[in-house]
Amino acid sequence: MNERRPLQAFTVGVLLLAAACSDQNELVAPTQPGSPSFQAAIQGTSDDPISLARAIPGFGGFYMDDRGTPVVYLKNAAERGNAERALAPFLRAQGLAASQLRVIPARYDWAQLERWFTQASSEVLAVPGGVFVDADEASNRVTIGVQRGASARIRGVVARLGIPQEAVVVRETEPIRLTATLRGKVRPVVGGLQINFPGLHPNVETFICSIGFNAVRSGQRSFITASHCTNHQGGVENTPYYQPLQTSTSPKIATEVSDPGYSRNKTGCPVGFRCRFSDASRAAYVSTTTSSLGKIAKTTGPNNGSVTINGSFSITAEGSASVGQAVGKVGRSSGWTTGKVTNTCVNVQVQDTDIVQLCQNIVTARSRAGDSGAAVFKGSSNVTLVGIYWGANLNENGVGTILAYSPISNIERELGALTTF
Amino acid sequence: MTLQIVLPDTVRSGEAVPITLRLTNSDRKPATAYLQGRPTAFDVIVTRRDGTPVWRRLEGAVVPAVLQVRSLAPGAVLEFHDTWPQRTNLGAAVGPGDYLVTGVLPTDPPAELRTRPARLRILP
Repeated sequence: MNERRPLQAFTVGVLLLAAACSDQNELVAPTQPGSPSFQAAIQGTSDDPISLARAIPGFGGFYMDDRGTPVVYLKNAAERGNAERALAPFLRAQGLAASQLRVIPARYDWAQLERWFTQASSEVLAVPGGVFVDADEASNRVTIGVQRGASARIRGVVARLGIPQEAVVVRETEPIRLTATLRGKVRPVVGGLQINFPGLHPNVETFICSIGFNAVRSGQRSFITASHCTNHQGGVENTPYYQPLQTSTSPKIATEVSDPGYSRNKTGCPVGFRCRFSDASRAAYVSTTTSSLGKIAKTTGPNNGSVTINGSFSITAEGSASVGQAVGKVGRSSGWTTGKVTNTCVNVQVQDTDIVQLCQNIVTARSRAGDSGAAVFKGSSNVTLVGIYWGANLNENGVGTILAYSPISNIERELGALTTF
Repeated sequence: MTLQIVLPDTVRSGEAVPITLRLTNSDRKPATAYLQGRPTAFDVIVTRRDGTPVWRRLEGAVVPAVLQVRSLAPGAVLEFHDTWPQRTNLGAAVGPGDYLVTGVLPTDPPAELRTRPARLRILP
């Protein structure tokens, strides 16, 4: 059915969204790609063959078959000339001649199918197992997608509505779920999501990191990410943040408000280096951005590379992790990865800088660029927050296998006390 | 995009070897490079001619896990410089002989930009 035109995609899409929204959890609110074209289609445009042909008496649908032949359903074949004229703008745009139009007999006219479609939609999608309803221009029927085992139930609904059984095709299909990923737009904002900041030279460079966790500090709704995920590591430059990316239609979600400077005078700081106890910063949300305190996006499973969101972790405590304990993190690049703590309170020099991060913890787990700022936690459902991930080794394939994180106690020592759940 | 490595053909034993990685947008259209770290992480791998590892620039290094998205105009060049002190990662001096030097620019995994190995002769 991939030859079908946008209007039908919109119609089905709207119904699916409506169905999904009724039981969506708070994490699932992705932007639907292509929305502007959908909007244009429903308004009826010259490239929309259904809107062009719907006024023809007995018109029952239009589609392009597998070989690219334009096919029109007509109850009366004598209307072919009208159909050719009505569809001419569309056919021209496709590089097709009106003579290539193939006419097949319609049993139902389009207006009738649309009425049944509207009638069935509100009822069928309210019934368990109803997946989609489509005024199907390729079959001149109303097609209803149902989950396995729901056919009889749905046919009963159709009969009760008085829609002729022969006008309806009931087809078993898999349920369709909205897919939100760590790299898409998600509201309310939670930990683990991709953030973007423009850097000091936004025309040539931009940076991508992850949100660690949400926090409240002095009544200010905020998120915590890495200090190096600001325009300048150490020091506040009011770095603007976007989620997932800065675009002309994507407003700023937050502004950097806290990022203590690196100092040569910290206890334990090696000579010639600048130090801090955490690579962490805080950004305050703008009032129009919703956020969910205590939630970190959960992907489909640990260490499987997925960035598809499937629920959330709930922060129920803050704590520390000891050598040998398992911890996890969720970052926009590698998703949910887990591993064991191998070292605690290690001083780590950051490659090609004069920065040493004091008293950091080391974990054997996979990570990738873009995961910076991800929360590190213990547990797999209700979790204990233990820190912020900021850096890794790079093996010869460019993948991090040993990662470093700043313990939550160090973060709050530098950013101040935080309410995190 | 193309990645080249630039270094002398021959150096005296004990001299630091200057090495440059040069990333060029050789296309006629603007291109985007996905780079790791801040500053940008780049790797240099030195082996003996039989492939035995000698030195790796990022061996044991910790790199910030930020992803940098860099726009490169047609013909634009990014350069990364370092020197190899003619020592192994354990700090032992290497002797005269022939070596192979490869540059790597880690990008968004699993992709990476890697140069062809360049020959380096260390003279006594």
